[in-house]
Amino acid sequence: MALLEVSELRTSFFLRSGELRVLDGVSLEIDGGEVLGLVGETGSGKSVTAYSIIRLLKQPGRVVGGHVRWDGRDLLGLKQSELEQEVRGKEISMIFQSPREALNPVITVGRQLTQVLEIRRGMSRQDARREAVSILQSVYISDPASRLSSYPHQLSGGMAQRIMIALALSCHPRLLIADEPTTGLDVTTQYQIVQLLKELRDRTGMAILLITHDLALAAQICDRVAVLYAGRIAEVGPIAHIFRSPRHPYTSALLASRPRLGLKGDIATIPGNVANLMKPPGGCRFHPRCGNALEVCSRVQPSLESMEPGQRVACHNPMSIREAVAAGG
Amino acid sequence: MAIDESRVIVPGAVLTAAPPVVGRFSDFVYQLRGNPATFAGLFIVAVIFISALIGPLIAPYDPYGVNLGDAALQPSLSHPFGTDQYGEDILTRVVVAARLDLLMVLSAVVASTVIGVTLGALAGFFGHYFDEGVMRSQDVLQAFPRFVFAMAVAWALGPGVVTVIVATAAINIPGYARLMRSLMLSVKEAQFALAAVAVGNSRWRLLWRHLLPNCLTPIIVLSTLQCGFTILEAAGLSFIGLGVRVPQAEWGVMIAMGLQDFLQGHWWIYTFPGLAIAFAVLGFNLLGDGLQDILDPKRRRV
Repeated sequence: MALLEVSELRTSFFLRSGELRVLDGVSLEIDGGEVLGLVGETGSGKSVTAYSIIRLLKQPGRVVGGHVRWDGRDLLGLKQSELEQEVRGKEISMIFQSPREALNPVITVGRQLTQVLEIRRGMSRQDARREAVSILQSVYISDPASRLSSYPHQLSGGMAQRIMIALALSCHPRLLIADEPTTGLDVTTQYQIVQLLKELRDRTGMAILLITHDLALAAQICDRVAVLYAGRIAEVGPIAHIFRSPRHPYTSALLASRPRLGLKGDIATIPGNVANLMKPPGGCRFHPRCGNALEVCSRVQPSLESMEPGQRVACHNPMSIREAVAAGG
Repeated sequence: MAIDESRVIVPGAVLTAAPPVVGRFSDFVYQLRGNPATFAGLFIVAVIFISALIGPLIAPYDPYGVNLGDAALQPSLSHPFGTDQYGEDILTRVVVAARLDLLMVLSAVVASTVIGVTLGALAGFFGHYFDEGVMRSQDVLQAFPRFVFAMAVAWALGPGVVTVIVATAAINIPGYARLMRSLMLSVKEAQFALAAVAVGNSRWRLLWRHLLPNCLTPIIVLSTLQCGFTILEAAGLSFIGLGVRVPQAEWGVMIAMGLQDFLQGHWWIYTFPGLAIAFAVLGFNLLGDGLQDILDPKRRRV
């Protein structure tokens, strides 16, 4: 059984002007030790999916349907105190974009780490300090003992993200949700952070849910990728399949719009705009922008169907293998 | 040729050099050295504290030694600040009064800070009805002119030290509550607040251990500045007879006593306690301004 099982998750934001259906039946699962990439455009609901899973949604957002099963437990029905004491940090942890803002600006890095260790793992002050040093070492912070007395604004972006990762992993969670962990970092640092995540996964066996809009980044680390469009999963499958033979027209268009080496002429774009979530188009939410659209697409919502082994697509008229390979190029 | 090890530049050395670990006290002294105005403020406040602690021991005369033979003497070598109309030495009384004034001011400021910050923090954090309830009650307190409200409270309680403390604390609570609420509203939306929840902090821990420390710098600065103003307000209440009563050595009372002899030209009776108040207010203001730079990790000298 999968470690995390999200089924038919529906989340809405209740605004004065109406109900914004940000997630409309998202299903995904993550096995232990697996890295699942969740990719999609801005506003497709990637972060909302993550926040819904560990219940960090703020008003006016609310989960209105579906299930989130963690190791057999229903996360959405869990009491607040159980969630805080048993799940967040210990089972599922999370890191964010703009790491410097995710660290408390008036508390030293060392204190932030030792506080977690003292409270969550019941360590004494000395033990916590020693453990903090070794945790910082494991994320390759040089001179960790003296770094403990730094404040977040004294750190570089990459170092701050390493410390954020150290903080998130200090209680040995089994799943790390990384919400755009490399946004705002330069390319070299991005690469280092991704390598670090990969190595930590290999060493500790934790699973990672990587949220990103950067397909190249996803390709570096993910085992499987789920493509999100307007609050629904368009396609999910092993990374190699998705890149080599995308079956959903949206995935295919997304891949075609990547900047590539040796590309002649303009980058292909997807016509139209992202679906209006206040009044989403009927049937498949992508049909107004889709080159493969049939008459049925505007009436009936396609469900996720298996295509290849492990690859599932929600489309009435998926790309044929030949087209798919051409698009994946 | 020997290589001078300290001159060898190691690639990346600059990036990895972490700040040296220094003690808190030596760091504080270092911060003060770069900030002469703050140092002056700290010095003045220290002088007031010292006279509050050991004033009665070092003062040359008995502060309540009535001696009508020496009444209203001009400043001279034996009485540097002169004497009042009962023949009490004014220098002695100015020094001894520091204890009572400081006691009243600190109690009032601590009480109003604690109450105001707690109310403001809870209002900002929980919002909704609690916020409305707290802030509208603060509106009621602020609807009156500050000093008129303090007078009303003092009149209701009757004269005395406790009265001055309660009255000056009461008028300052809304200021703290408002400041704290607005700080809390912005800081609770910060990403580190979300990150703190994501790694498993409870709401109470988030509020007291993560959000509150981020709001404290402006609060401490305001408290320090408020000490100065509270001295004025406490002295004002005593001056109009609603606070501490006449024989007591208290700066406001002493100015009020001087006023009785104003027409006789006995300027020294009210001038020296007045200068003591001005001196104290200046000290707290300089210190308050400087603390802002020292307490904020981003504005500190490195």
